[in-house]
Amino acid sequence: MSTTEQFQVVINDEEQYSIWPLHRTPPDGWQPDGTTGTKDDCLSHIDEVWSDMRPLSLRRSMDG
Amino acid sequence: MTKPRAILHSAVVAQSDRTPDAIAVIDGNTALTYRDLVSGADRIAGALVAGGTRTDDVVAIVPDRSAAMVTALLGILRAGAAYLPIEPGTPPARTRQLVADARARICLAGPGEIASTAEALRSVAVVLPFSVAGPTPGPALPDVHPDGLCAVYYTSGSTGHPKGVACTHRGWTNRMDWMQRHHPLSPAETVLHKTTLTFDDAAVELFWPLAAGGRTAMLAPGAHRDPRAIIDAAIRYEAVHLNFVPSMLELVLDELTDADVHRLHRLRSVLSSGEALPARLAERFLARFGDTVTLDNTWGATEVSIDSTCHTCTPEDRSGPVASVSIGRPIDRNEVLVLDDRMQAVPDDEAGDLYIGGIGLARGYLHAPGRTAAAFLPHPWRPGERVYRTGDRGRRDRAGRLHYLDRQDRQVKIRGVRIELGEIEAVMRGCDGVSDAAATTWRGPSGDARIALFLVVDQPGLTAARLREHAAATLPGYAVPSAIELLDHLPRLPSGKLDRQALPTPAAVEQDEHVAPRTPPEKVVARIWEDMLGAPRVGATDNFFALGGHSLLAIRTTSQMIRTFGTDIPMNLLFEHPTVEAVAARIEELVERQVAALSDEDVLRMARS
Repeated sequence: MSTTEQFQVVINDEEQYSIWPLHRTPPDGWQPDGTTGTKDDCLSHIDEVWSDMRPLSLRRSMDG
Repeated sequence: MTKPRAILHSAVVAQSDRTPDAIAVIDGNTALTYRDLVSGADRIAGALVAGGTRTDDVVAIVPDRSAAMVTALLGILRAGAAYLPIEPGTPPARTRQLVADARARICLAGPGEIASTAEALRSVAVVLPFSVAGPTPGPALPDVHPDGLCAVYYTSGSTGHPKGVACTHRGWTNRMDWMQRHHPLSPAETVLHKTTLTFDDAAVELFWPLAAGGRTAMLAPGAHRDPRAIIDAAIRYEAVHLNFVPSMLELVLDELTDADVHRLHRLRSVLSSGEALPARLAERFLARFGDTVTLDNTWGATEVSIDSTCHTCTPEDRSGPVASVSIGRPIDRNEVLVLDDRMQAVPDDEAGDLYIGGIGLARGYLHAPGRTAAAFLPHPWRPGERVYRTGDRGRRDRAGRLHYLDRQDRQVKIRGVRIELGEIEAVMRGCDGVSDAAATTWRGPSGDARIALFLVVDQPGLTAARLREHAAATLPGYAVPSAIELLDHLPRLPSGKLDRQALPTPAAVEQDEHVAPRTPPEKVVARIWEDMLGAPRVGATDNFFALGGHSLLAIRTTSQMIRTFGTDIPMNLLFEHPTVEAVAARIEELVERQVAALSDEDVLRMARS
């Protein structure tokens, strides 16, 4: 995998983040969050925005 | 009754309600009943909650394989927290780094470790002993969620900064439940806790027997590297199950006497994990224990709740051509995917990257969202689910059994051809008289990458030349190592794993003697290769790939030979028979067959043209 390959940041219904190659449609259940770039760009973005790594259902159960 | 929730310790607490006086934990000095265990754990949990511990927090623990340590572990879980094990004797700076990274504010330590741990964690965390006085019940204990964290296991990580795997109750409970279905444990039966707690396999030695109403017996601290001590403890505690990494299993088999086998009469199952299980070792095991003790080979990752596949060894494993035993099939509610580099499924029998999905997936790496996102990827076909990229290469055979090949980073490209170094090792370990093998790449005199193979043999008179013949006969030409060397033993790390860095650089590759081409076809083939490879003098026994040929050149060279000989030569010929003499012989055959197939009319027409 070359370092110049372009990725997109994707997120699922549990608000878990991951990455997927930019030129391919993400699998069902994953939406692009709009961020694209190199792998490192995408992972840095995820480091900033994914502040609570508990899945959404657990957050609701613990905090609700 | 409602189905019990997937909480690691809830079955232990339920067991304490059912059989409070049954023995749960034994060490050299103490036997704790289930009532002792749970009431001690609840006092610790009370102290932790009073000290500010909340659900999903991390509490560190320096284990010492005592009964009190098990109480402390259960106490951490009862407080709704996850335990972070830190090996005794860890350098203070590393202890501080782990505790700070996990944001743990409390660390529990046994009497032998408490002073040094408190010193190491000064101004970072509070250090408490394994047992606290106080009333039971103490403060109300929090509700624990199946997706809550139960443990944090740090893996070294190739970049140097350790990663803490955030393990969940749901995943680990599934692993323990599978164990109980696979190897039903009866009340009062014993499992030996012999593995250092900082390896996740150790959790199975503790939580599986306790959830099943059995006993866990502590191997004395420091004895886990001593095969005699392990055998004696297994006999003394009448263990029915033992876990090993293959390198330790080997040492135990070396040590085991007939009297030991007789005295291990309660032993029913042994589980191997952590490294590929050599077929020879499985064979040795079966020869020793017959069908009285089963041997399971498991594969998995800390990131997916310890183990995800299992194969129970059978006598058929002995005769298989492959040197490592299969890793079997996924265990309950686990899924293994064999994918290509576009994350699409590869056909059966083809090598690919191994991914794991299912209930065992960890939440991710603690406080490391980017690293989590890089390793836990969208499941290619289960909507919204994730899969963990293990970094292992493997294949699934037509029967659905999985086979581990190698680490992903040991797939190398030599002159354009992808080669799995692990496959070369596997083939050579399958050769009679070879006891160990390590393949590596090195730069030849001209700077090109080449394969070197280091072998350990246990058959006197077995020479590198004979082994080279075996390699040439069983491996595709492009994978035949250019250097084969015999070593007394392979260099090993303290963990028992191969130390690749310590392998020697191969001595200058033995240049095969030049054999001038003898027959007309050999002369023609050699001349074509000289042109295509830019080689000054190609001999009859020279190997196309050893001369610098690669896959693209092989195709162009084959095309040139087709034009010159005017016959159809299969494109894989060079890959299967990479020497001049073999190629020439095959071409002669093809030409003869073509002539024989000609009708009289064809011959006449050719004669006229």
